[in-house]
Amino acid sequence: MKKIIFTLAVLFLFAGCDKKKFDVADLYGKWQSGTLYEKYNASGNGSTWDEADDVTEEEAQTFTWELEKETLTRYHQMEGSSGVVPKTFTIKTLTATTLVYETSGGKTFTFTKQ
Amino acid sequence: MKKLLKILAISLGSIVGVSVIAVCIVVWFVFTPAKLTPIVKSYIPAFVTCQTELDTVDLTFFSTFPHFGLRLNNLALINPMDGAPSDTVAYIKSLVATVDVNEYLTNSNIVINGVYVDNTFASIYVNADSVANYDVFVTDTTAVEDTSSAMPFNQLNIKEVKLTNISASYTDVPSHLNASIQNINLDANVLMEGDDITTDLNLKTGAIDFAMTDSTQLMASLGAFDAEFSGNLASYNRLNGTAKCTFHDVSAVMDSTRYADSLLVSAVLPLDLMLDTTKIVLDKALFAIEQHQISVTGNAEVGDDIRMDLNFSTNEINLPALFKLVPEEMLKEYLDGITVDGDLQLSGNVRGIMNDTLMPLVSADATYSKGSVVVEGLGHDLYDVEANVHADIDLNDEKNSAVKIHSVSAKTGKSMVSISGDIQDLLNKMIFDIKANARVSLLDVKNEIPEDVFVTGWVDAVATVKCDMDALTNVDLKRIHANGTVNLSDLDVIYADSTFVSTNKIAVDFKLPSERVQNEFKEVIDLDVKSEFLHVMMTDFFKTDLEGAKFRIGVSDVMDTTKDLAVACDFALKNIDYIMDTDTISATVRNPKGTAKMFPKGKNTGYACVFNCDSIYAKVAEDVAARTGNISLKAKAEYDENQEDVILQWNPDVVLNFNQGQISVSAIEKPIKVSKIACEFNKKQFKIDQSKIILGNSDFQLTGIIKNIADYINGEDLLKGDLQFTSDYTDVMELMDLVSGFGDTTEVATEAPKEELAKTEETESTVVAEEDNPFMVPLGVDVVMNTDIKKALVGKKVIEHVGGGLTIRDGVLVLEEMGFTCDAAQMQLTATYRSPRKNHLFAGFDFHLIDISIADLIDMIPDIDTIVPMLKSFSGKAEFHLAAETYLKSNYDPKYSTLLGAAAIKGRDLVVMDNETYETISKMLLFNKKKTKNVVDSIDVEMTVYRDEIELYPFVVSMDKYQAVLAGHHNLDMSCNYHISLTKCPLPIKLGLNIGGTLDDLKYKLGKCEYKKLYKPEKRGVVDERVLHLKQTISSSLQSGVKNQDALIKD
Repeated sequence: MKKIIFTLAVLFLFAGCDKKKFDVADLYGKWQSGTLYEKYNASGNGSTWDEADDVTEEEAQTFTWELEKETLTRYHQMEGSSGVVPKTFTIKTLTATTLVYETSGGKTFTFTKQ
Repeated sequence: MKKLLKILAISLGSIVGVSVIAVCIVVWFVFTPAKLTPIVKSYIPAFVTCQTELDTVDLTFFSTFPHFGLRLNNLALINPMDGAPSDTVAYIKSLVATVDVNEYLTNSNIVINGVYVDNTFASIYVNADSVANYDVFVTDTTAVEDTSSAMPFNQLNIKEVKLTNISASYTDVPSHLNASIQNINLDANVLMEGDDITTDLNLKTGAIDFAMTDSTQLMASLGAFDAEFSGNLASYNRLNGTAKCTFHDVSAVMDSTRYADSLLVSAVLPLDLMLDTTKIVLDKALFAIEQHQISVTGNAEVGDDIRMDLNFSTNEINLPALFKLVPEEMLKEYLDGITVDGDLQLSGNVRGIMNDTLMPLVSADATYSKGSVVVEGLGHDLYDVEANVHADIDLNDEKNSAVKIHSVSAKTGKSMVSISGDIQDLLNKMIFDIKANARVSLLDVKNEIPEDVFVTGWVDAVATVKCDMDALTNVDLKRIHANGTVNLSDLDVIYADSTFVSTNKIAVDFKLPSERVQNEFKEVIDLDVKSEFLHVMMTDFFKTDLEGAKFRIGVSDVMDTTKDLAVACDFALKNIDYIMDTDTISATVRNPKGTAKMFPKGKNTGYACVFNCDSIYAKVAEDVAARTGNISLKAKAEYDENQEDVILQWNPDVVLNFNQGQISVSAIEKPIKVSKIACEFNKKQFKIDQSKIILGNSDFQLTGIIKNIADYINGEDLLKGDLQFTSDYTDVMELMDLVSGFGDTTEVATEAPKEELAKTEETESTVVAEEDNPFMVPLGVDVVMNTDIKKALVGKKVIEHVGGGLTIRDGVLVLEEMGFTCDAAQMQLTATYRSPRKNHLFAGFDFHLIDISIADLIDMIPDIDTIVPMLKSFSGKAEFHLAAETYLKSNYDPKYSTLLGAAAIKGRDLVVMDNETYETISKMLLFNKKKTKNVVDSIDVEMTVYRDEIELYPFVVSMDKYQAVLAGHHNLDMSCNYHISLTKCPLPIKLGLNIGGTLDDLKYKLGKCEYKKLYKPEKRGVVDERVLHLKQTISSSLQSGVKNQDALIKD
């Protein structure tokens, strides 16, 4: 019994320490969270816009992105300078219809696939 | 003696008695009617062919004493005709003739003492076949004309012919004529002696009627007719005497038009007529209709030609009385609605030959006095109308006909006008040379002024006009020569109860055609306007005072419809004061002068203006006040209505210079001094040659050129500009303070009452947002403004050699690589502004500070302390790279969803400041401050801003035996979450310190050392590598924008 409990404990421990891995294909597409939209293309490009700020999809802020396990990294090339703003998000949930991530500042956003 | 007398008396009485007895015997017993009547009747057929009746013929003595006479009683000529009013052609009740037989027998003189005809009438009738009932007299066809001039007697003396009560009627059926005359009484005597005849006759008639009833219906009548003639005919040739005739109650009606109504017409003709030459000499012959008289003196000779030299003169003819003689229909036609009063006197001369080809010359003087003219509806009753005119009429050579107007004057109301001059070629071209004077009260001409304009004042005008009638009727201004002066005094004009114009005096001199020469057009009208003071006001709009105004205005031919109007105006004023009531705008212009022109140019309209003034002072409420010194403006424009853009429409060409300007804006504490501006503007380019502006401690000069204006408007090319902004000294902070809030009209919200808030919540969107009007960067524009600021004061720092370019390029405004130096750093700034649409504006900047002390950096950019609060814990040199951008709303509020920012700070050999935070951290991380040198070899800080999150990427701080990694983030609401991993220290433990809370109230808590492997390459994990990669990405991307790469700190 002790062996069993120890084995399960080790398994849970490893399971808890293991990073989540999501199917990147699920990320492709257009996502909506309220007035906030994000779009991820298979080419590695993406865009984001918030209709609350009177921004349309055509005026969206573009970025390139990469997904490494549960870490989504976006690189926002600034329009007015050579500066690049990287931003990482920790994906909590990624399914064909739902995307939940947490910003590095600890804010959580839940998106629904459009 | 008595006896002798008695004998004589008895003798004479006997003789008389015997004579009487003898006469009685002769009359009553010898020549009785019974014996005489048959004798006379037997001779009648020798004279008439018709039936005659004669009662008796008797011898008279006592009734014709002292002569015997023969009397026919009741003689009638009877010739009945169908249709005739009477079968009697003529009837003579009594015809008596007496002859002095003795005179004939003794002296061969025929003396007819008297012919008396009483109570006679004649009825003349011509039937439809033109057969007359009076055609009853025998014509002796066998008689031989006696051509001898010798008379069978020495003298013929008809002492008296007396016709009494003779009447006649005349009916002419073919001619549709009916006439009658009643009660003709003639008393005449004729003395014919040799070739001379002396006569004296007096004729009176009763009523005379005349009627024509053919296509022309003419009815005429006289109540009575009197005629007298006394004179003689000498040698059967020269008739000399005086004829007088009077027509009483003359009436005439033709075609229902009454031409005369009971008029008295008379004539007195002292004449001297030569029958052989038919020359008549009149001496004060007088013709009169009623009281209107014309006197004629002179002579006329009627031959193949009529030669005349007649002077005529009328009495003073009262026109209303004269008009009574004019048929009412004619009066209505020519004087309908016009009432004329006054006296007219004419005099003149008619001289010359009149025939088929020649007409005599007429020279006349007319004097019109005590006149008045009232025209219905005109509103001006003319009174005191006086005229004195001379006319020469030459129908043979019409050029010689002329009128000399000595004077024509009239008054109306309080106004008067008078003219004088002459009119040459009266019957043809009518060439006027007129001088006119007028003093007109404008109240008197109010009917000629639009209803909504009320004008008072006086117009005093003097004018001369020279032109012909054709030029006048066609208003051919090029051929009308006119000049004069119009003085308006005490003028007050009110338009629509809202616009007021007043002046004490305006003088307008005019000249037509103008003698001035304009290069752009043919000047025809020359106006010279002077006014000492002119006040113009529009209620609730503006009022302006013009002092010492002089305008010289030239106008083209306004009547030439083939050309557009052209105007040139030279102006000079002492002063203009202008106040706009509604916006409380006021302006004062001193000594403005110049020229303004408008003229056709091809198919377009050209404009030109030269303007100079000594100064302008303008004020807009308490917000703006501007004062200038001398202003010089030269401008040209060519208006093309086919163009859509206003600049292409006007095609302006402007050269502007002004000095000593000063503008005060309430939002700016200090005045803006413009010491000089010189610029040129046309559709191709806008060129600023000179400009010098001083604001507070700062000075600026802006020069350069903007080109391709027309091509840009037409969409054919970019608007290109190359401007130079030069400043010797710029106090940046002062400028920012001065202009801070400038143009911001946002009102500070006040706390609304609770009730209102509740209402607002209920109705929700009751707030109406005002439309913002952000700066929109023009498209198609490529303008570069290069800056050259020698010294600039930023805070307490003086920066030098500030250079760079401000570029507007096709919708993007870029402050490009603005570089400068100061004792703290080298700096470089690039800023970008775009305006895709009003509510989506892009603003971004890229800022680099090289080799700057951290303290100076925080001092220069205080906000950096907010973003990197721990930076103030270090001291030393660093380089700072910052880029940020966001889209803005129309009110310039940032759209946080688009906010991006990145910063990199790289420092070497820094000193950690011993402050409160450092003290706390040292304690928590077990620093031995006394044994630790607080020198940091280097730091490489990277951070990003994404929306409302600021993320500080891990950076290592090595200090003596200690090494720590700092990282974390905070939000724009200043909440934070930082971590310090103590990765190296004398103690065998790896501590971590978590710092949370807000920047104002930090919470410290020991925790796990999270970055113990980050700066140990051999131990780094994937995550660590990614973190470093991101840091490198941020750092390198920012540094790549630095112009001077050599100045950067190398790794």
